[in-house]
Amino acid sequence: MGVQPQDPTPPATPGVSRRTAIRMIAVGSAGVAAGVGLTAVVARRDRGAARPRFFFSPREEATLAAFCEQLIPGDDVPGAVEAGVIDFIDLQLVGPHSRFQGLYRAGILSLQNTSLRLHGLPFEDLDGPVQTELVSRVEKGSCPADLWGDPSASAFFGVVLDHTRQGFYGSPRHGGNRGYASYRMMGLAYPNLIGQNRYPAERG
Amino acid sequence: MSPMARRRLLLVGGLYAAGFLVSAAVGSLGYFHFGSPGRTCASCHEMTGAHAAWSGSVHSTLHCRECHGGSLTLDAHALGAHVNRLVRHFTRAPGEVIRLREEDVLRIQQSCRRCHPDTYAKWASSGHASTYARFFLDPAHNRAERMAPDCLRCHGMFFDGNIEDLVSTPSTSGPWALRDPAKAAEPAIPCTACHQVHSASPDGRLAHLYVRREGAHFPLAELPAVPLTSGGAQVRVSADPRQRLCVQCHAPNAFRLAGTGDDRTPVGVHEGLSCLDCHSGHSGSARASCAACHPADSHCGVDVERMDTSFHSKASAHNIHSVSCGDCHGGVRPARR
Repeated sequence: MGVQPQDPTPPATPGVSRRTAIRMIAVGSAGVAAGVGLTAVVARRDRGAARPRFFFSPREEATLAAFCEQLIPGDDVPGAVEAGVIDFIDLQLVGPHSRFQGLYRAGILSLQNTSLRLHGLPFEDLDGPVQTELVSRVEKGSCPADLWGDPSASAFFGVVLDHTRQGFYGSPRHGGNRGYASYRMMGLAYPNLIGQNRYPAERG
Repeated sequence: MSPMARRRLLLVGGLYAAGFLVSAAVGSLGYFHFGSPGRTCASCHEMTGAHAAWSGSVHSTLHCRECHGGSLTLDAHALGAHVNRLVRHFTRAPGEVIRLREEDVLRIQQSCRRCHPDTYAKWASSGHASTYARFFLDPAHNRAERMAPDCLRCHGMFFDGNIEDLVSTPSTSGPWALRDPAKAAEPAIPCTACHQVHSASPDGRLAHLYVRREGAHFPLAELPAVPLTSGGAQVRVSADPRQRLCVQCHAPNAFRLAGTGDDRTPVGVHEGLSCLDCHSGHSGSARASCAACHPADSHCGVDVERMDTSFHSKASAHNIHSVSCGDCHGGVRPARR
């Protein structure tokens, strides 16, 4: 058995060629640049954007805001809009109050149509006293019958009044009562102090 | 092109595409990690309030990542939360309320410690550094009083769950055990229970009360002054706004009777004093506090620190918070010596 002659050149080690390395660096750099650039553009676009609405269109929001402000108008303390009632209703309509979505959509449309027919202007553009008079008609259900089907005007009024109260007087953690506006208005000591009463164990 | 060559081309192309996407993600996260908070964190409307508060605070020289951690992280939860938030943002889904988990609160506490080691050491020596085990596994207390969700109002205000998630038997019969044994050694009243890092106080103090129910901090100025009575008379409570914070947890019973429940509002000779007149804010210590007001001797010529009060001995029947001259002088105030 003879001795095999040795190859004087070392075997090629598997690795990355210079060309491949340059390609990888180029692709990585381009990726980083694209990531930074795209993020900067998106961040700049959304910066300062108002809180998005989850349910209402801008037109619906304007109409509902004017309606709710009639229910709890602002004076030296915030009214419904400033206290975030619209934020509350908008948030709850895509959550626990989702069953009222149809009522709001149809009711606001009926309100807009009623305002246009009776006064020739969108509800939100009416003068305050005229808005008050129209809200009163909605409450009593004395609106043009052909413009209100389901919900009826009075049913719409009742639900919006309920939700306005909830948003105004409820805890801010549900989306309304911004800055504890209603608690301040009522002079409510909040957070309320509970303390322990040291009940004996047998009284539970 | 042979099938083999096509496969190879596809594989190489896929690898480059994947590399590009990963690099883009790193670039995007890097932008948030190193960028100015005003151009990054605050671009989400959910963060504008927190950013505005931080901008006006004494901590505005610190970058968000100093306390909240950076975007360039391998923390799966953090990355998942970022992606989830992005998806919600672009799909306009109702945003989750962005709130610190207890784990985050404790991590932030280590940032507090880095910059405020002395204050941290004082807090660590105080009763306010007590652990979950100390508060919730005290047999004497647990036999006397049923655990309730409201315990977490002051003990474990950042706990991510309800009392049933914390203690296995929230009744008076026991046995009591923490569902997660690791919580036993965790502090139940961390720095942020009484401090809002983002807020500026006009007087430079940052004391706020964290109200678990609301998931929000209340500044001292917004905390209500609690009217108290003692023996049918109105108690003169200190006007020190910090007193309003203490009484939120060191609270009287529902009838607002001074000295009931956990209330320690001074009555008797010390009526009108603030807790902070005698107790250090962070250590809670009242040692050597008498000298701040009393000369060597008291009104009646006795060294106040040696008097028979709970300041001198915890066994004393005369609680320092309610002691009056008459306690030792048969109901009569002695003449000045």
